[in-house]
Amino acid sequence: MKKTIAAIALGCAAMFALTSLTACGGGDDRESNSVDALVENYGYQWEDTSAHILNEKGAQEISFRIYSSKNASAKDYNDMDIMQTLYEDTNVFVEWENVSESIYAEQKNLIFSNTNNRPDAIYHAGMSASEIIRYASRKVLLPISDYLEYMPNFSRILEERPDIRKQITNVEDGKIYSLPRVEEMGLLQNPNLLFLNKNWTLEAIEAGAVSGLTAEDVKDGIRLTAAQMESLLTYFLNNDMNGNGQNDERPMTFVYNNWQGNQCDLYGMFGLNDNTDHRVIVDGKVTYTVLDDRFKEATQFINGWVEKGLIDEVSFEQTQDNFLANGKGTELYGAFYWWESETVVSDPENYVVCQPLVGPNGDQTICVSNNPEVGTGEVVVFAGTPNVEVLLTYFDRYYDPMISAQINYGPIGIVYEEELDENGMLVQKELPEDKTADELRLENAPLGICYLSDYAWENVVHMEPRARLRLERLEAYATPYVPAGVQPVPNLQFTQEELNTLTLYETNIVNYINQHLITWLRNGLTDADWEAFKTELLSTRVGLNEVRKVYQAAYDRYVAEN
Amino acid sequence: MAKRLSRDAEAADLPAEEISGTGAAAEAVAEVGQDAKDGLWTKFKKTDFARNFKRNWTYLLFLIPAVVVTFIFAYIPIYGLLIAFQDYMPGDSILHGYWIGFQNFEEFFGNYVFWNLMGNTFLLCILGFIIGFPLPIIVALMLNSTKNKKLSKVLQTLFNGPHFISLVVLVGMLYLFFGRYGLVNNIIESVGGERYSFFLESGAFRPMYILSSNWQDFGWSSIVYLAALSGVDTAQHEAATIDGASRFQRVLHVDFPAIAPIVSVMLIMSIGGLMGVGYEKVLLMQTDGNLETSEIIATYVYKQGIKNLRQGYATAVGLFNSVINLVLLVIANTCSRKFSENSLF
Repeated sequence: MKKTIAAIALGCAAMFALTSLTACGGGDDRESNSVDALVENYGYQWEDTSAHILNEKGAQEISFRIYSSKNASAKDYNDMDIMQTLYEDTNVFVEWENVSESIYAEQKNLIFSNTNNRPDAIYHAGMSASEIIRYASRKVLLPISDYLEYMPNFSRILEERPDIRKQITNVEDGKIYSLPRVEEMGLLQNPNLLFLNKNWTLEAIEAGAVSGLTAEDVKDGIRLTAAQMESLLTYFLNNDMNGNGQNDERPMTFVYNNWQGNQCDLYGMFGLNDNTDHRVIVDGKVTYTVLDDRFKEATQFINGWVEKGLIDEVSFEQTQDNFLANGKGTELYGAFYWWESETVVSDPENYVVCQPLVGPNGDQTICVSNNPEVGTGEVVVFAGTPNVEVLLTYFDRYYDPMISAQINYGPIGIVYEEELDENGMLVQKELPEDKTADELRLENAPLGICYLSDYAWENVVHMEPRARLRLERLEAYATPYVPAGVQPVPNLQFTQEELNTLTLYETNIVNYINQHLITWLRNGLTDADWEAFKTELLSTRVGLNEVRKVYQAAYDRYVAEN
Repeated sequence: MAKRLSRDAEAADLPAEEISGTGAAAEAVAEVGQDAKDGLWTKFKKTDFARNFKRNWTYLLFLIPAVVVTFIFAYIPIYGLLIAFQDYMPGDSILHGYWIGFQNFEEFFGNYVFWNLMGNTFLLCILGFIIGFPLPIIVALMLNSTKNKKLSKVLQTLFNGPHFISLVVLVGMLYLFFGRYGLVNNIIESVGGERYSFFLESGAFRPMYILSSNWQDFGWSSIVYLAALSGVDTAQHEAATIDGASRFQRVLHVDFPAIAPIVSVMLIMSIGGLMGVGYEKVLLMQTDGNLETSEIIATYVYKQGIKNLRQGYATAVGLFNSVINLVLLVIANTCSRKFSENSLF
């Protein structure tokens, strides 16, 4: 009895902790000023985006508390050069409270529960659309759109880019409750590229294992049919390609259902633009690839490769870390799907990029993923924050292209030279000897809200060399194979009622599809399995139709006035 | 040992008597109050409660921290269960929240995963119980009847070792050993078998989960039985030897009856906690491939409550789970009282 009561009670202990914390909250004794008073007493100005926001008195007397999670290798935000630069440029004093990313998910609920002592804003808030709409209806979050006049950079962005405005505007009341992160490099839509081991392929061609391929074809952009790929992989499987005397070659590998380097490109062989949500826009219609009969054909075909051992079954089991670790050292991978080859294998020059595979029926297309380049819910501000206009003007500076670049990549003086080049663009400094570019960036850049789009790439900052290389590859071997009319599903905003439908069905649908898909890919499926699957999926119990209608309605709203 | 135990039980019963005494005393006080007020204190001093209290008040003083802590941390928080009937978001007032009645419960019972969840949870727990309950008893009996006492101590220490491995490390070890390129599969392949994806087959989840849990805890759980066994009167063993009992017969007829009361208490307790399996290890071992058998109530609660931020719904599901536990506990306790006169309450 006692044990059960304890078990019940433990479940509530967290709740108790929350409520008791509320009691100890210190409250807020800062004074809120009207805009007129701010202008008069503290020299508040918002129109000139390069001048101080407050005068010296304001710097002394007005301060803000911002809560933020930070990457494990990042400096404390209070000590970051870019934050100090921002303070000097604006005179707005911000006290950062940092926690590590790993505990933020738990902390978030505690912050919201602690009604008397909330910070003024959360940076890296990671709020989902559903959280925002529910907190907004409880008047916990500040409607930022009511204060757009104090945010010149941000309101200009919203005017230029109605699509971004649509993605962050709450459809219930038409207001904006969060600040977005926009980093548009065009890299996210196609998260996979197919890489093929050059030397192994040449060996296979020499041995006459593949028909219709010559040694000259083995270069970046090689076009392979499914049959040719199959003979190549078979050759890799049956021969000791890396010459270490062990049968440890993995002909083709990827990380199943990962956000990058997943199995979805394989479905392109059958003309499907699949992704891990299996949801894509085709000619303005929200389409589920798992309802298409070509999906069955493709799954059966891929299963054939799995059963022959051409696709290593570890692909369904391994994590991203295992996948990356096994690529180093002795070459094991014949072909693999990933973002880029440089991070996967020790000698990327031994691998060539392929075009999407040409399927048995001649289809050649590629995965279109729904990874958005606009991150919504990156910063939220609590309702009732004193002098909130000043804070929003301060956040507005983050959208200045020059600041955005430094927020995202690291500050001038550490990552970039003090002097701009002749085109007025930032110049990358030489790396210190003991650090890689990634380490330097993570240590000195807070990331978070920024606006980096075409204008910034042309006028402010060069893309990183790695990003540029990938962009070139995508332009050559991925984007041309996306059919016209096929688009990723953007960030959509839902009504409360639609959200209720989604919470009711969506988790179950994802589980239902994933459970079946992995079994089929490994063990095969019959036509009867497929029909039963489709019937069940569309039934009201699982409810795919209901969910599809919600997405369609939200998408129609999204495109309505664009 | 059995005697000592019963004495312990008496000692443990004392506060309970005190408490029931309070009720009686309160009634007595109420009755007296109607007669005459000045006689009240004298009459009260004559009650059993007052006499006992006077004699034992220092000991009772020691009880206060335990009562206070239990009350604060185990009873007060129970009001948080109210959020099972609300559309709760962190920051809402629990007493004045967004009430939605039984909607959360209706949704769960109507959900098509409901029976699957129940079945998985029940099977995982009952199988774990069937294997995990007798194992420490057998181990304890075996260790106790080992002639070489030194060896028995060494073995006991060895068996306890795995208990101290953290769950994350344990699951990491499972991946190393049972992964597709792990030790076990390397052995299978070297003897000519096919590599087997233990983590992707729904059939492999329960055996792996249960056996690894038992491997980790059988030594630790046997400690309580070993303690009970160390109290068995050697005279009984000697008598049995003279009567010609073999060693196995002595285990069966001397050792086992001696620990039977403990076994029945442990049985009731483990049945009470049967459905209360934690989510951490299951979640760590979960893959798309074994989701069919590895999705249990606890992991579902975690996903809904933390990931989907539906704390009201998750609380409703958790509450339902606790109710099942309570029912099981009461049933086990009643049966035990009927058949063996041993019970928790």
